[in-house]
Amino acid sequence: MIVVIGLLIGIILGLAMDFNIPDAYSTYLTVAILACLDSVFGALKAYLGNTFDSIVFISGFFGNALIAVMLTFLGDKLGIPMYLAAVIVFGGRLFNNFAVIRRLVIERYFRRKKND
Amino acid sequence: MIKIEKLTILFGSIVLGIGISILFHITTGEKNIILAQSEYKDATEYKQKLLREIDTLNREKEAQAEKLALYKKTIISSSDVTSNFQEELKQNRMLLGAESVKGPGITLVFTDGEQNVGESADSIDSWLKTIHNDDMLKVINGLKLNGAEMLEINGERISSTTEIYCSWAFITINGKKLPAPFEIKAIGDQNSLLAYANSEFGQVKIMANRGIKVSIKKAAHLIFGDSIDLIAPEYLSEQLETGE
Repeated sequence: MIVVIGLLIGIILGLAMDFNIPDAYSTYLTVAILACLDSVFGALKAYLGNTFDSIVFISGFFGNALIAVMLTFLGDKLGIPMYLAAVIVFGGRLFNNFAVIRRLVIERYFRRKKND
Repeated sequence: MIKIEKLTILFGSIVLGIGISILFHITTGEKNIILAQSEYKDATEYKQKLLREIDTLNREKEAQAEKLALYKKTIISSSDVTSNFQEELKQNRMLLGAESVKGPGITLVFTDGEQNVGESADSIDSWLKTIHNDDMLKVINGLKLNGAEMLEINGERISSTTEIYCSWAFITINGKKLPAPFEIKAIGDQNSLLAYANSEFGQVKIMANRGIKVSIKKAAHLIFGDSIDLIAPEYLSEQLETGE
């Protein structure tokens, strides 16, 4: 729930504040967003599993985005689409994280129902 | 502790949302596009190239417009000259008798006088009552002198090459034998022409006194046909230099 609210606030803020970046950097932003999304889902998983650490999350959030951007930049310079590596890795992790979150949420739901 | 965790995730989500909204801007192209430095350089160069092209095209357009104006001017002046030539040619053809003309003037009809019973055809009275080519020449001359611009006898225009010659009972005009009565039409100042026709000692009165029937009419609209065939001069040529 907190993720959805945060995303909505962010989208509204972004639309209202009229941020703009050069068109050429759209690929970098895309992979960065993918990395951030992976971090957020990872954080949600950790939060549900009671293993959440703010520093780990923040460092992962910006660190992953930075690495993804750097990979894409390097790929551009070398002429290899290296951003695909970030897309595959973070995309795969997204599904994994989502699967764990799903299980944890369902588990919590049934535990709470059982307790009631 | 949980509160901080939630806030951290919220912060991450907000940053993510902002990133997504920026991506929306780029993909939908709704907002102003910001260019990277290299792109800006390329775009500036392209803009300069386009500006140079516009400048060149503008100069070309101006040159073409000037040329067009010159052509138009030439066309107008040449068409003026042509129309002047055509007008002059038409006027010359009218004066020469090769073009139909119209205008106000008078009509004179001369009919030979009737012979008296027993009168000889060779008698002086009979000769006096007959219209001769000399009479026509004198009438034509008198009318010309009194303001006739154009003359016609029985449908034959009088031009500079017209002959009036006696051919027994006919008068030959422009190579055509014309019988009496003779109808002379004269375009010109009606008052002046009428004054001549009615003058006491003019040729018309003399002929009337000789017993020739004369009818004088004023005509508001006389129409002359184009009876003169223009000659192709064989001996005439333009004198280009004086004293040759």
